[in-house]
Amino acid sequence: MNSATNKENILIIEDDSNLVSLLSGRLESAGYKTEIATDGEKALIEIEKKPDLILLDIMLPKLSGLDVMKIIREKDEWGKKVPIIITSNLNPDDDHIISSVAKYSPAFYLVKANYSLEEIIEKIKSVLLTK
Amino acid sequence: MKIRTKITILTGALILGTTFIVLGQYFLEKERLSDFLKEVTREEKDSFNLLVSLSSSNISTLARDYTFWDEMVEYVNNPDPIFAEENINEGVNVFNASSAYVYNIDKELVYAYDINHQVPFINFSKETLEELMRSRFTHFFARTNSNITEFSAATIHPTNDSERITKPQGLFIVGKHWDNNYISNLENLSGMSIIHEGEEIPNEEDSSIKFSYQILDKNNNIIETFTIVSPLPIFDDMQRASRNQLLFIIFSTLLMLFVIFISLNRLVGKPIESLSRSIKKKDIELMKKMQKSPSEFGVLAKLVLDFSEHELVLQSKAKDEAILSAVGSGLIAVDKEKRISLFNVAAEHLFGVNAKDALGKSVDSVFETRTHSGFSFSPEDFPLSKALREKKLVSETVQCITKDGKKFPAVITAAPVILNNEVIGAVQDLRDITSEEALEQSKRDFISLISHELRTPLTSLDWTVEKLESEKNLPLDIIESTIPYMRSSLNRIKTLVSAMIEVSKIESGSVITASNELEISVLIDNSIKELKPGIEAKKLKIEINDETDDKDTVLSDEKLLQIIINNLISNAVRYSNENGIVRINIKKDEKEFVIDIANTGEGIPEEEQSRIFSKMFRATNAKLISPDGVGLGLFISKSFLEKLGGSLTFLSIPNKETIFSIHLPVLRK
Repeated sequence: MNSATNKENILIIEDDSNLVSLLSGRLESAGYKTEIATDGEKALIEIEKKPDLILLDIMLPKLSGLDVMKIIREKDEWGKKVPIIITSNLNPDDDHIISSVAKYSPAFYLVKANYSLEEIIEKIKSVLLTK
Repeated sequence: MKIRTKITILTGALILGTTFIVLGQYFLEKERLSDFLKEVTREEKDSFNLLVSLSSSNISTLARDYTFWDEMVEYVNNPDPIFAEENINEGVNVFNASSAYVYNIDKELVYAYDINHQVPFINFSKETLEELMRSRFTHFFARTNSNITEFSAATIHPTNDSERITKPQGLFIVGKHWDNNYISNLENLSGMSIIHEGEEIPNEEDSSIKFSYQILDKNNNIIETFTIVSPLPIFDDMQRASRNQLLFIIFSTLLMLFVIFISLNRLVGKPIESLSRSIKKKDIELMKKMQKSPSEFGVLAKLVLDFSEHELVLQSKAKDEAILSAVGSGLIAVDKEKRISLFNVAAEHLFGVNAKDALGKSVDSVFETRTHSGFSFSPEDFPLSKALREKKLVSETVQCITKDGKKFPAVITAAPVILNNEVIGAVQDLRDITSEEALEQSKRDFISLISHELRTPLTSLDWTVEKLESEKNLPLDIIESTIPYMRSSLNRIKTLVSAMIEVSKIESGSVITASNELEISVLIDNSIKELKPGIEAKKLKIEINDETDDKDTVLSDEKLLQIIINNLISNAVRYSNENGIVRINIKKDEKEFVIDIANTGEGIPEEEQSRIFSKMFRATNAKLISPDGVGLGLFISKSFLEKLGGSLTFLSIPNKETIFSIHLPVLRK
């Protein structure tokens, strides 16, 4: 089991409670500190803590992931640079998903159903490395 | 009126007219002949009169001559028989008279002589003799015995009294018997027949002139009326000639009219009649036969044939054009230079251009064609250009841009038009596939949405299993705690798969309904039990008000109705605000059961209410309240209810209450 030395803060923005608990449990056991937001509005509060990496679902209550992403990118210097990994089960091949997501330069687009928790950890690691 | 009837009437009128003329001519001729006859009669009469007076001149001469002799005066006073015999008898014989009478001054008969010695002689009365003595000469007729005798009387004077002014010395009367000899003599001289009164007039074949000749006595009494008959063969000839001429005119005119009638009928009437009949009956064969005729009717028949062929061509052209116009896709025909020669109604609609504005123009000036992804074509790659150049059918999906800037995807099929092995143009069929593309898009969206909705519970299951696999020796309570989540994920998958199957059934029209006796309250209880976690999480209050009796059961399909009730109560729970109220009301009247399912909350935005039952439609606020969801519940519920003979209605007052009402007909078993 890998353990993170720096204890980076990771913000999980995800409305499905089961997925949130599984993801946060796995990340914490991997040595990360996690914060959780279960809708768009809560996400806006959490980003004030300027996490090192954000896992962002697109379909969210109250404020969509795309709106949250736009706010983050336009917020400040941190917002422009913070790596965001999109975790959505929407098909990224869809024309409108690609075009609307691409302009906010996500670090990665990840279809949750195609990734195991283990693979997500690997992805986070590599993204944080190239930060 | 038919031409043949007209010809017949015209001929009839001509016959009538000719008859009038001929009759007029006939009467004129008759009048002329009658005038001629009168004239000839007058002349004949004159000549007969002349002949009679000439014949009687003998006796008047004799009378005049003998009455101014001194010897005669002497004789009257002193009659000498020798003198009488030598002179008077001699005179009567020489002058071809018949008798002579001499009277003295005392009106006593001195001498009488008659060639026939007819005795007694005529006895002139004293009054007659006195009257005769008073005038110097008298001419008169008198009946003697059976004969008529013409008399000439003169008074006797001495020789020196040539003027006969002295007193008469006596009276000398000379007579001429109109006996048969004399009459036949007159007949011979005149050439006429003299017929006594009462005698039969000979009925000769030749026509003749007849007139009366009256013999009057001294007192102008009619003694005898002769009928004089003068034969007139010339007149007869004239009459005959005139009649013959008339007959000839009548006959020749009738013949001429008959010939005219027959020829008019044959040359004009019949052909026109058969032409008009063939036109009326559209007898092409007869007209084809007629057009071989060298006459004008042949030309006419040919003309009619040409016209009817032209008409047929026009009709067929109009029919073709109507068919082409009716074609639903845009049809554009062009010539070799790509100038538009046909632009149908659908094309007019597609490009917003009137056919009359498009015809004759280059097809490129009416609209722009680009590749499906919106890139410009090089001119030779246009489907139309390709079809014209390569002489084959070309079909491509393109993007069309109208002059108004409207863009739409279309399938263009261009085909060359080949006549006698030569390309004379091309036809382009253009079908707007916006709706097909939209359908394709909606299918893609559906798959994308469904896959997203399936992936989420699958991810949940996947990761849970991963967790259970990777973390050995997990305490039992942790393992058990994952079970409700897995159950919930599995339920979500099951629900979604069911919804997909239901939609598919609705769309293919294969929803099969059963008929069960149901208690609605039971179905509602089932739903609420299933939705318990959600209700508790939101701390919702559920109010159920059942106005029906226990006996009031619904005859409907249990499965479908359960799905409908589940969908609606689940929506009420999902879109209700926290601590809100979900109110369920069941009532029944004569016609229907009504189940109202109401919830407090934001409600459905007014501008989106009309689309709320559309497949995959979700209200903007619904997506934000609950991002998961495919927008099938209301679509399925409404479709199912309609299948069950019921309906689904709603009333939404924003931020207050939203009520969905299930209407079910009251059916009896």
